[in-house]
Amino acid sequence: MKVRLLTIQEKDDLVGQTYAPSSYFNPIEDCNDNWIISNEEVSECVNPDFYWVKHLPEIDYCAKPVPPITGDTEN
Amino acid sequence: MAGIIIQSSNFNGQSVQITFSPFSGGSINLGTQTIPYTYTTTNYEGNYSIYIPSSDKTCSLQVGTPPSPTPTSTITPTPTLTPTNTPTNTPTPTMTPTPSSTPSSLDPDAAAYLADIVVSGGTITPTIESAVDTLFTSLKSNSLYSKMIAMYPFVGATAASHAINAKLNKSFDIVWNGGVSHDISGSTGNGTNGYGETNVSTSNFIDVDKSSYGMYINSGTTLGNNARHGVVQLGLWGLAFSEASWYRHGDGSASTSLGLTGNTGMFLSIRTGNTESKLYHNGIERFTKSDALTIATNATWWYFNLNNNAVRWSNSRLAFGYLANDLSYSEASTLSTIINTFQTSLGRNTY
Repeated sequence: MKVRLLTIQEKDDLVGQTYAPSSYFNPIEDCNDNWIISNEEVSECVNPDFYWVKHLPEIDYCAKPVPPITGDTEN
Repeated sequence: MAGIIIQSSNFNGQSVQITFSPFSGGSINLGTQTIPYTYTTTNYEGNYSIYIPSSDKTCSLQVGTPPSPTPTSTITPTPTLTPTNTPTNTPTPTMTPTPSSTPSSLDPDAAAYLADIVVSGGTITPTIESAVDTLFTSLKSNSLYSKMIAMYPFVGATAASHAINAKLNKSFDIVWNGGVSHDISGSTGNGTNGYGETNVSTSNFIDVDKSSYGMYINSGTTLGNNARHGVVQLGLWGLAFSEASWYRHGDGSASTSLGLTGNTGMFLSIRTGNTESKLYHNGIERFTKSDALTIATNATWWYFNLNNNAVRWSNSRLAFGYLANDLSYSEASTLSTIINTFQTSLGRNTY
């Protein structure tokens, strides 16, 4: 799966902002602590203030490992 | 059925992003489409913004005449985009979208919800009107409507319309974050970072010991046991559920081996007291838990992940969600049938 790579500044610029009506950007960190957003947010972006996301570089996505949750009995 | 075809002599075959602002008000995100694109609606007059990613250009297209004494120029092509206004019948479009049925024949709460969908930019049809009306009247005739804290029929095919709490308490409208897609079949998580925040807190229940939650999933997750919906507070457990394989309802331990027959359909949980809850799938009781309540009081319900955990993303598609007070076990089958009938009317049922 491909996602879009952000700089820390770009991440800060997106937090709290909408890419479409009723839909907020949600930058997250990948397994390498890179900040990324999804291709869905990019392709569905109709907010002209953030059309720049359509030019973000694509990288392969690696999810952070799922940690055991306190009290969970399974992994 | 009335509609409009958007096409171009220069860009046919390409993917474009279309936003439609009808003269009647609101804004509708038609999403990424390949042109020629047929937009089926009776309310097609307005302004279309068409973004062409391959050229990084936006075309503006106006169809019809706005309700103004000073009409604007009809086309502002940059570059040239040729509109083809080709209704498939001879419609008599109105400027104000209204349900095709006589408003007084609809349940008043159903009518209010449908009106909210239209205001939000969602699309309704006579089929949707009828299905929503039946949903509301059936819930009321079975004394279930008043028990709902929030319910989400996911109607209208847009993020804004799918966010609407059909009980019309705007505090519980869903706030979408990350990559969640919306269409006539429901809302789909991307399994990476998309989720919906309902803002329904465990403290919004009259008594969490007598609570219920449910979801109609019409496309199952491909991410296995890590795909969850609900809420968890570190150190304490809230309401949480994962399609097909993991289940909690305000208690301190997860249960698996639930005896489910798949990861789609109507999943419903009812807790009736301090030590017991039951899980139902497609109206049939599948699992009973006997655990004391250990709920956190200020945790809010998410769709497509667990609140406060945020690594167990789901890529399933939701076609209904609810959170309710004080259901009895005997109401599980009735509620499941009502919601499945709603889905069947819309052609998006799984059983």
